[in-house]
Amino acid sequence: MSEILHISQLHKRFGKNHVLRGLDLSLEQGKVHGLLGKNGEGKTTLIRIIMGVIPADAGTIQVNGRTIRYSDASYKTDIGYIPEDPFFYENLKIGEFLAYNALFYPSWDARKAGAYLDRFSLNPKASISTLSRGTKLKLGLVTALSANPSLLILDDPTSGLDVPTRQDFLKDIIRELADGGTTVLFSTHLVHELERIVDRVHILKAGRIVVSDDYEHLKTQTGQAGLEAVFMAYVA
Amino acid sequence: MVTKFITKEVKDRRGLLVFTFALFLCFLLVFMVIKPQSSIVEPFAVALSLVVMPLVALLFGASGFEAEFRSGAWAYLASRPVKRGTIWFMKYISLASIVGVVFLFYLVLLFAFPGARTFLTGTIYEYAYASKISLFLLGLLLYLLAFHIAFSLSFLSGKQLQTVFVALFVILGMGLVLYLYFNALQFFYPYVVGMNGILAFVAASFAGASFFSFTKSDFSQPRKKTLAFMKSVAVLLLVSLVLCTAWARLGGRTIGPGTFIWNLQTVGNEAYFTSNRGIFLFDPQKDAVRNLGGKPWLIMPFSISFGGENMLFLHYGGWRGMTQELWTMSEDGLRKSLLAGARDKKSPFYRLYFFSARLSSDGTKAALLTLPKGKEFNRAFPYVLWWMNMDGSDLRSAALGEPLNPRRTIEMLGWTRSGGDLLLYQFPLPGKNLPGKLYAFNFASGTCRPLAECQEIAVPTHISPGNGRFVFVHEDAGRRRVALLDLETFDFRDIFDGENLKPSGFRWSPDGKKVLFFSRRLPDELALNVYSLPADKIVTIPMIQDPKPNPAWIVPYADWVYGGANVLLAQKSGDAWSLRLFSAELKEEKAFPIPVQVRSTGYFVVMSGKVLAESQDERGLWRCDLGTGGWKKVY
Repeated sequence: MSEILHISQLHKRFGKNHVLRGLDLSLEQGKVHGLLGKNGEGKTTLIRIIMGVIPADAGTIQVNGRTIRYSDASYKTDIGYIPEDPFFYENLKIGEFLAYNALFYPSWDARKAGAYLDRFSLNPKASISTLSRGTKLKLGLVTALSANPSLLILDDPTSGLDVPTRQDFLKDIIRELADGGTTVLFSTHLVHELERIVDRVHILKAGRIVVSDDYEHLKTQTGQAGLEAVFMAYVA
Repeated sequence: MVTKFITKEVKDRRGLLVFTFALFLCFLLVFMVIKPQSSIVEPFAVALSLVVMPLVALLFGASGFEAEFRSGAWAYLASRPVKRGTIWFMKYISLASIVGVVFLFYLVLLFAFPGARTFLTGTIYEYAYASKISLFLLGLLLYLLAFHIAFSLSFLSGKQLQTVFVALFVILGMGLVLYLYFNALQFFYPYVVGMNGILAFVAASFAGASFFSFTKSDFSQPRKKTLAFMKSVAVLLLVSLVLCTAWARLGGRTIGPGTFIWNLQTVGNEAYFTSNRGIFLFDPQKDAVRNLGGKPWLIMPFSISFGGENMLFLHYGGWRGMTQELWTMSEDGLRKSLLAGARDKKSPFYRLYFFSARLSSDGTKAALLTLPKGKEFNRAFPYVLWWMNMDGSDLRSAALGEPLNPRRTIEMLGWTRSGGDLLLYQFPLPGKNLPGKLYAFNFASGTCRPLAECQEIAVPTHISPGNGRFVFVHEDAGRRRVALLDLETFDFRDIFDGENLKPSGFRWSPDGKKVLFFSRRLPDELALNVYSLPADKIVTIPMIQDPKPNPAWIVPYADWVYGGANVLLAQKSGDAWSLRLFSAELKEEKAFPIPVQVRSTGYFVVMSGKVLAESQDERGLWRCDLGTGGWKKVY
């Protein structure tokens, strides 16, 4: 199976805080990857470095076999990204924001965007400032998926959502994407949520990936029944 | 894509736009109410152009990335598949478009009102010789500078107000530093040319540093981001300063605005002048200008004199143009040598300020007046007079003391024909009602003797060709009198006098036997006079004055032409200047107009049948052929 993302010896410091210390990570194409770690371990930092929001101090990142640099941008056309706290221009309407976002993606599919808006019952004429957090998350998903990404990165997107919305999101949408061949990297500290959808698990601890394996294999290896138990077995 | 970006930026700045147009409305109401000729127009136009508009540009610039960094949108933008440089550039274009539209509204506002329009385009500030800038252009430069600096700083902070204050501090601080820096260099005008470019370079440096830092910095670490920006801007500002200084030093004298013409004078039947490009000769036979001496000599006004077949001049050399040197050169520019320099530690002239220099009429001796360094703006003693042969040998000196007044400026007018004396002029002190005075310095005895008081400013051209006589004005029994001083005996006699008279514009004929001058009797009488030495007679013609005379009472200019056979007069009538040719007996023979491109002060030099006059913009020379009346630009 080919790798869509390969990270080697990644380092990142914030002042004296050495957050990422030679991190290695590979994502196989077409699978749902769970990135687990305790709060403050560097999950968001890692994702921001992948997305080119902040630079790494050292290490290499390859996307679809091509080494990318901090100044590169074209590789992001193939990546959908929903950050932990997605940003929207509050003074725009939903339709205006999507039109603005479409400017960045050559492969933007307006029909798909319309279909997702209908699916999530979002009114393109609604002002973003009137949306709830859950609705904004859905808008973030529309934004990320309408560009037909081959890699979808989600940084703890469900925190703060109510349970039904979270389950709907995880069970239906993510699984649907993965079944369609989209690679998903799902970062969360709510471990139990990933259980139903994850294919591979990557555990981040002390600035490194300490575990990178198929979920089923991990369960067998650790003798643990659930993902949370598996996680606790490695980070405790 | 750009339209969408601009639309978004306009939406983000609705409040600021409303505020700006409300401000314009206030000014609009003021301009509608006040009359165009009202004295209030000026301060309002200045306030709008030099204060309000730059502040508006500052506010718009400071809002550049403020929203993104305050709201966290920077992370959103950075994660999009678009290069950071493109984000910066699109933001810049969007905001520049908005401030451009704002500026257009400002133009419409101002140009719709005659008073404001006239003031904007008509108010000119001269910040250096021949370097002028209109209020409008100055306002535009400040507008652009404020916008660029504020925009460049906007990505460092999410607080617009903070950015505004920092930008203001930067602009004022840098303005002070640049002023001091160029002031240290600039005593010699060419360096001020560097100022022409520095504002653009500063704006570009900040924009460049902002661009580099934006594309490379880690936005999650504000201190690192700011440090990266400061390093970039420091490097770019240094490069800008070096480039501007190099441009001023090397190219400023030969390119760019502000080419000036100084020391325009005739020697024999040729004309010489200096500019920031060197020393030039106009050959009337060839009707062409030639560069002499092979380099861009920097010679101040009244710092070049001719005698024999040589010239003597003070040149400002050295890397900052602050080192003075006394040079001699043959009139054809082929032979030159350095007579004295203030830079040589072993030289008696080391660290002296060279005030003026004069060549003897036979071109064999040079006189130099010096002051100690630092005293050049405080004309106090000790003035020291030096004299030497043209090969630098037989150097002697004398400190000028009594009877000269230590608090008044001294100038050398010229050598006497025999070369035994030097005519000196001590400037008047109008505030103390002290007139100018003439003195003769005797080289043999090293002493000065007073000769006469001199009511009008004395200049070297008042010495007759051959250095036999000197014409000047003195006052006796309440009457102004024109007198001739014999430069051998130092006796003088009056040749013309009158009540309430102001004689001026003395010009000797080439043979030294006639002198013409204007006599003005207030309030509005003007006459042209020619005094003949052999006949001891004056011929006078009253002049017809402009019915709307210039409040400054500019006197027409006249000189001898065709070897002294005729008099040429430049006179203004209405808005037009014309050249009028008179016989030596002052009978008018011909007249033809001076084109508007020629400088309207009427000053010119004549050689035989050709006249040279400066361009209206003071950067070129025009030649008139008196035979045809045709004008042609020769430099």
